Amino acid sequence: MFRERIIVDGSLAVTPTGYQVAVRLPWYRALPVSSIEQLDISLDGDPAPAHAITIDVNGRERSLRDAAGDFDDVWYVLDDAIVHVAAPDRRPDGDREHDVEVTLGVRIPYLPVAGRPLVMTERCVKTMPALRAAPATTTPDPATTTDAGPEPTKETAK
Amino acid sequence: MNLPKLGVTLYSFTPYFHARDYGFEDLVRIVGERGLGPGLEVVGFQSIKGFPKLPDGFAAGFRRLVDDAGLELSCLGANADAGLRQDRLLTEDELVDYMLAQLEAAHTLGFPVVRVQHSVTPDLMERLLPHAERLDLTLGMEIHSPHSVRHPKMQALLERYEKLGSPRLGFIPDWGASLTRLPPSLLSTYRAKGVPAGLLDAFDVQWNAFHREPLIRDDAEQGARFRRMREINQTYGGDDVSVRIGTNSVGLFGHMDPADWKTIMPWVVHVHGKFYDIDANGDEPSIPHDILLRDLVQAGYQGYISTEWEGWHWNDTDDPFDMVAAQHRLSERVLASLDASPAGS
Repeated sequence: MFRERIIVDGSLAVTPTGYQVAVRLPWYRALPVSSIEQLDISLDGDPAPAHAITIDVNGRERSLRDAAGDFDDVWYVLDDAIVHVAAPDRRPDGDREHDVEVTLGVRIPYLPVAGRPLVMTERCVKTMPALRAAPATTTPDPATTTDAGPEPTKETAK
Repeated sequence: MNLPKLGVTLYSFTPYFHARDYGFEDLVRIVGERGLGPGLEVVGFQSIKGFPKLPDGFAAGFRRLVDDAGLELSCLGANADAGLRQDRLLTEDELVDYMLAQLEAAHTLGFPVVRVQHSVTPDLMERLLPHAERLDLTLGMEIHSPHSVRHPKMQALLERYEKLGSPRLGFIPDWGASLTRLPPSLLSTYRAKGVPAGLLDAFDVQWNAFHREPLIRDDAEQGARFRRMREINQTYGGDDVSVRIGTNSVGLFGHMDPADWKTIMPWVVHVHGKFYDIDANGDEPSIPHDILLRDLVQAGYQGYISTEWEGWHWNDTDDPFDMVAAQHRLSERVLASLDASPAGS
């Protein structure tokens, strides 16, 4: 579902230790952070090892191992998560386009089949330039979420 | 004659919401403006950040929004996330607590009915009943493909309902469990996107073969059907995208006889009017609205039918608001004919 939306357009950025990219949940509702069963990322065909990947959800950066245990923290369906990759020797070149590939497998917690919930795995590939510096904040823009209560949002109607 | 009431679930508009084209409040307002109510259904974990916790003042603002839009709350979609943890399924006590938090939220928001899902067993349903009474809620177990009214889980619930005899427990039929054929737009859309015609035909033939078999009764049979679709994908040169057409057909498009909803009709507390396509005649080609609505009317059902457009899983060209409006026109046409005919009175 929505596999083409997993990698947020224009979100690849160079960081002091490597690179980062914003990702969206390929599902229709919020899921526990612990539902992230698989997160693979590669830049220009170079896959990042799992230990080099952290994911920032709700402003808290965590390893994939820690994310697996975070069943009481929720990745809201409208929020970006920021995937950070430590790759000091392979930082993207800010002057050219790069191929980014993300495979995200999320467990659907209400669909157990034979005692094991289904895992939906989606792959997204995009080409984009790398921003020379990461955006100052990685917390979601409040205008795109509903946690401010049911006031009219600032989004542009389609 | 008192007829069922129409409405919609905001799930129908998921593509716009997920894309951040429209926010939650925009959707509620537009549903009112376009007359797609009066019933309004919401999936808690979709529409409300932090659910089942509600931000301060949220409930009052929400009720004002719904009132201003001229809508009525029909059902809150709760989720029975038994697979919350990666290491194990929740225990029964944990799942009760997990559901209870969502029941409390439904009560605070003002919903009369809560949709629950099949990880909630008859025992857990019975444990939730006193809370439903305390919170003035009715709990409806959704019967969703690949389940059916005859699935042992649903039969066990029916037995428990009959023993408990409470009007606060019931079922929510989802019309996606009783298709007569695969949605035509599913096949035509993927054909246009370049999926080999031979593969699509093979999925279609296999779905029709499943349709002639007995309804599945356990998870092993469901797993076997997933595997069969994967084999077909491989045989006909499919890839990791096309395989989903086949496997989703097992999970989304159920084989129950649409007339079999009659067997649980006294226990229906809400309806998910799932649909995918509206053809040139204004009909739904795989979901026979004439039969489904006839049986609801004949049973005297006067609750809501929440229109649930799920064609967006593959159809990214039709406007979800237009699709829901077209399904409402179909429903109104059928209901009007039933209202006029002596058989329906």
